[in-house]
Amino acid sequence: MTRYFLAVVKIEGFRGINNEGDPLEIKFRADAVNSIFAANGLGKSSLFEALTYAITGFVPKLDRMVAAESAKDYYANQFHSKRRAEIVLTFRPDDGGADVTVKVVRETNGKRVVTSPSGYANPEELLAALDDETVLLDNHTFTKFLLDSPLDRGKSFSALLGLSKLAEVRQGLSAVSDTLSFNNDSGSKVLDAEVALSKATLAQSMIALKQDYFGLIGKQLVEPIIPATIGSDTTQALAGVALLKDQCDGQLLSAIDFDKLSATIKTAEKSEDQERLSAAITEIAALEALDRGTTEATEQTELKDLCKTKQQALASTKGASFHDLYAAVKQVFDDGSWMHEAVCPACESTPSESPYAIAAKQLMQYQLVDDTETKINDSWAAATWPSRLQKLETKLVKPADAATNQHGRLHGLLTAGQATVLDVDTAIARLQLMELARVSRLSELQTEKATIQGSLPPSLVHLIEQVERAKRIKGSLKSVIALTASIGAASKKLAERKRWKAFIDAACATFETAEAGLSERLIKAMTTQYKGMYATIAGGVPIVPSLEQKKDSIDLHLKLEKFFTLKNTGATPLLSESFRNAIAISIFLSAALQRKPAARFIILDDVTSSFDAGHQFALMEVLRTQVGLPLHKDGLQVVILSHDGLLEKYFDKYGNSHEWHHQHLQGLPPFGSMMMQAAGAERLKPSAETFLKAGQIKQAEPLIRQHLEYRLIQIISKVGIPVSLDFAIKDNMKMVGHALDAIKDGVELYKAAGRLVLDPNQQAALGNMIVPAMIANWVSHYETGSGSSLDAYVLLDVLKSCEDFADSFKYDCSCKQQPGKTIRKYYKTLSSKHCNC
Amino acid sequence: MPFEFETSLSAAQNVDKFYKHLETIDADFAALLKKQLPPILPISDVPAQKKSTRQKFNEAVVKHLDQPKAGATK
Repeated sequence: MTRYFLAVVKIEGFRGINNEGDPLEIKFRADAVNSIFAANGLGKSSLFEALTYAITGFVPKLDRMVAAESAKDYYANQFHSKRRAEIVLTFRPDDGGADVTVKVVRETNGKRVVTSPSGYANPEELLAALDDETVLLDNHTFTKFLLDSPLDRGKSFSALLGLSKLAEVRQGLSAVSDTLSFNNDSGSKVLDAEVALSKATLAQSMIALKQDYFGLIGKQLVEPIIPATIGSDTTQALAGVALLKDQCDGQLLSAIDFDKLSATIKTAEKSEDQERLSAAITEIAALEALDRGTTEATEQTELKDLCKTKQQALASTKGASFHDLYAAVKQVFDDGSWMHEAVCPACESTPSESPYAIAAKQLMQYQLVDDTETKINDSWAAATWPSRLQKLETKLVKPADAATNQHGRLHGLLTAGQATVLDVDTAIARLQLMELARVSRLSELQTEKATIQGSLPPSLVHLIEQVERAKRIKGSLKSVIALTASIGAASKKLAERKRWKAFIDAACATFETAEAGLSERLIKAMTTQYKGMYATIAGGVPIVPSLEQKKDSIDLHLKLEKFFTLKNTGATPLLSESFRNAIAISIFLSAALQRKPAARFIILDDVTSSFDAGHQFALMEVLRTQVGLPLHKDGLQVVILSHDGLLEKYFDKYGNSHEWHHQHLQGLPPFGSMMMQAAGAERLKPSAETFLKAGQIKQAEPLIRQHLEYRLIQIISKVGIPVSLDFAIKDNMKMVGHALDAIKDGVELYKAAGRLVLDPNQQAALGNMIVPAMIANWVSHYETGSGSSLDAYVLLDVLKSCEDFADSFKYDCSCKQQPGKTIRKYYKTLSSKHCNC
Repeated sequence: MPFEFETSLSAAQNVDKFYKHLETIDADFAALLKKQLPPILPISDVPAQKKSTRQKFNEAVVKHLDQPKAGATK
């Protein structure tokens, strides 16, 4: 996978960087650690924010502002005439490909426009790929990580490992694969009920069809049925009757007009009795079709049992408000915001049983009520007796008495979730009553039928019965065909839903397993690395940090595997702020190395604030040797933004070498232009002078100290003044006082030997010791921490004196120069020049 | 070989890899999930919002499921 270095950034009109018409341009080396120093107020934060905005699309500090503060107005530089910000980033692929340039513009109206001047097809996509949790790091990130609750720290850690986005997807998959919700939302429950009801109706129609077919044709109808054959058999049977032959022969069953057939028979009979007989036969058939089903008793018992279960479960709950209360109690335990396991977060009492267990148990009762409710509705929808009750009430109850009907009442109660066992019993009793009425009515109809049949010629009675059977066959067949089609369509829909459900369930499970595996591998790989980095930063102090995360929990606890002679202790109570920060930084850096996101660079803004000089240097060493290119071959391009004067010494040591590229940000933000100054120790004096002239003594002090160290060591080095072994090999000995002592001793040694090359004036200047005294005076103040008692004018004089002091070891050289020109150069040694000048 | 995420990939790339894996199982459903899931993320912890989001997602899924499939005769 191609990864990208940050090669160049150009900024105009963003935050504190104005640079109207002359964008601030910063070049980075891909194969080195890049450090940028800027004093306070010189745009370092604006640079970090510009990079953040370009890559992520927002600035966290502004994003956290309330709406009334109108954060959107503060992205663009307040003094840029167009109030339009432009950030151009050039990325260099680590596979040797061509540079990619991406331009991010924040228009005057706040719109963010991303383009690629280099012609990259999808610059937005590239920026999104570069937006990783390990790319833009500042002190706030580390502090937050340490101060967060275990839950929030766990979330941050997850994000750090690149898992938060995965967790987001996993939670989404989990939500949309919830079975109960899907069945409700997708209408699967309704479809299931429809299919069940249609199947029950189909079964009844099939029974009626088979009975009538047998009655008309005289043979059993065998499944699977063939509608065309049944239709043909029926019409042929009717066509076999001479009276009906003309209307039925060669006709399709669907085309036969049964009213016309009845009229023909009536005409032949010339009697009203035929019509009454026909009606009686039809009603008898309809009532016979409503005979009690074999599963009815079982269905009724099941529904009653479920209602009973629900009533019992409901009795052990305390209503909706308590449900919310129990849910809230469980939630605060689950999310880690309540740490006292034995104390109830709602009432702060201490029950004998764990409050969490009580809440969970109560919530289970509520869940049981919901689950039983679903089963009750399913049972009602699939049962055959409700349909029978409904039809019997329609047929046998007079419209005036419809208010006594039980089917509609019970259905309404069930739908509202309010049905009780008593209500079901009432409906069952009603069905029994209807059954008695059905049998009674059948008896009446049979009597009427027999009476009419007795008064009609047998042949016509039989004919009327056959025509009625044929008519019912037509109706049943139509019903069977329609129901079969309806069941088929609904079943197809259900099958598609089930197929999707199986797919999403499998997807969810696959994702969860893969995510857990990735997390485990990343943590394992990180652990050794962050512990090693921490040991380096902490300077060998016998402290070993550890991160503990219980299985199936996102909570992340910061612990100490070892704290001097103690084992397995808490980290927060024992560690100082800087040591805690060192843990956080180690974790973030090792995560950055393990992850390998699209960005092969890491930008660190002001990450050394809590460290003293020693730990700052140790962190820089970790970055140089364990994180950054080129010393770490698979490492990252490290970009360090710092305002810490103490680090300047470190930057001076490595800056502008093959492994370190140091630059200095200077200028006049937020009005004027800013620019980069390739850094070297020579800039220390002008920088210190700038601070002093602005009255910023605190900022100037470290620069003055570094300048003095640099200049005195330069004298020692250039003139070859002998020094002690400690001074030569130990960095911490290269201090101003020691350097002065070495120079003074060297001068005295050569003077005593009569070989000192310095001219009399120079010797006099050194001899009266005004300059060394001044410097020593300042040094002693500085070393006792009271340097600030000297005002800016005194310190400016110190800087000037230092240059005068250095000048005492130089002479004018005119050889190898153009005529009349001289250069000021250091003596070769304390006893010789480089030439004869 | 069970599906695995790779440490060398970003989260977005791993998610993309996941969708590609799903395509080998059911391309139609994988495309449906890839289209409908990202717009509803992140899922809210607030039950009412979560329910509403889920309903919208499921509505879109059902609409897709009930559409006549390409090549179907009816």
